[in-house]
Amino acid sequence: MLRKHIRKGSSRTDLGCWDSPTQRSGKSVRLQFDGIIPDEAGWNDVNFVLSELLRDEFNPKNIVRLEFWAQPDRDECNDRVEVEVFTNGTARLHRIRTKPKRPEPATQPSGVIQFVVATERFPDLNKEDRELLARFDRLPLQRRIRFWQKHIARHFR
Amino acid sequence: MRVVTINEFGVPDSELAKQGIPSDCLEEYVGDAYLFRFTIKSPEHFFRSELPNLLRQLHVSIASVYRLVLVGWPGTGLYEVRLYVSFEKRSNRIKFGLLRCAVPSSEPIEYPQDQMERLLYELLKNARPSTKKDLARALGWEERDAEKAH
Repeated sequence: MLRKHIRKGSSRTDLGCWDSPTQRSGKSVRLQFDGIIPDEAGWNDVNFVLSELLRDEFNPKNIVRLEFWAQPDRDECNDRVEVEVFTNGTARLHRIRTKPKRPEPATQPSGVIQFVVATERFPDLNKEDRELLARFDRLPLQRRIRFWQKHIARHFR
Repeated sequence: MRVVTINEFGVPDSELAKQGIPSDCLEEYVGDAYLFRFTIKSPEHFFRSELPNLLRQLHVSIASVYRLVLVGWPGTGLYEVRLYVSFEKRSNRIKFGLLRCAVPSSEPIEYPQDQMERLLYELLKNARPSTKKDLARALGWEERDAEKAH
């Protein structure tokens, strides 16, 4: 479930660095999402969303500010995230690909309800598929993102 | 610093009554807040190991973190952290000196369920055998590449 979305307040501004060891000038893109909590999965998701939005323009080393804050009147999973990332180019925002291209296979005939007792993660995958998923998870974050862009994203729209 | 969180702020009594909430029963949260300032070597290590360890040392959960700011420079990545934690009741067992100890980087027992994992799972559920075979082969190349780089 992807609950994050780009807010209308997202903006692009000029950014220049003078005292940095890597002096640069260019654009910075500021984005806001909802529903990401400050943990490892949240950090991975921020990187994933940025890599989808900015594609080749995204470099995690160019994130210059990341802020999480809990919103009053909301539960803890409704933290707001604001991220500012430096881009060298035009910073065009692309679509986040999360919908599979291939149509779903035929489902159970109507009137039949299938109950699955979840004894482990991904109970409906076979052993080989679970192993493939685990190998993907073991890759360092930036390699996972690159693998996603090169080999997995083409199956989504 | 004292932190007072007022839920349902500015909601008229009539509206609260409609929801069946007496105005004198509104929840509020009062806590002592601490601001921690430090620098990190890598955001990956911080989110995977250092932040969970820090919360363990403070005897609080992630829900007590009400603001977290990481800043950096373009090209160098995020390195400076400001972490705001509020305690409704601060534990006397906190030893701030222990927070300085380096946390060894280790492989997690279980990987976090993030968006990329969920999407690959969705793909594998319906993918053709040939697609799975292609993915497994490409993953093998990526793993070999990662090993060489390591």
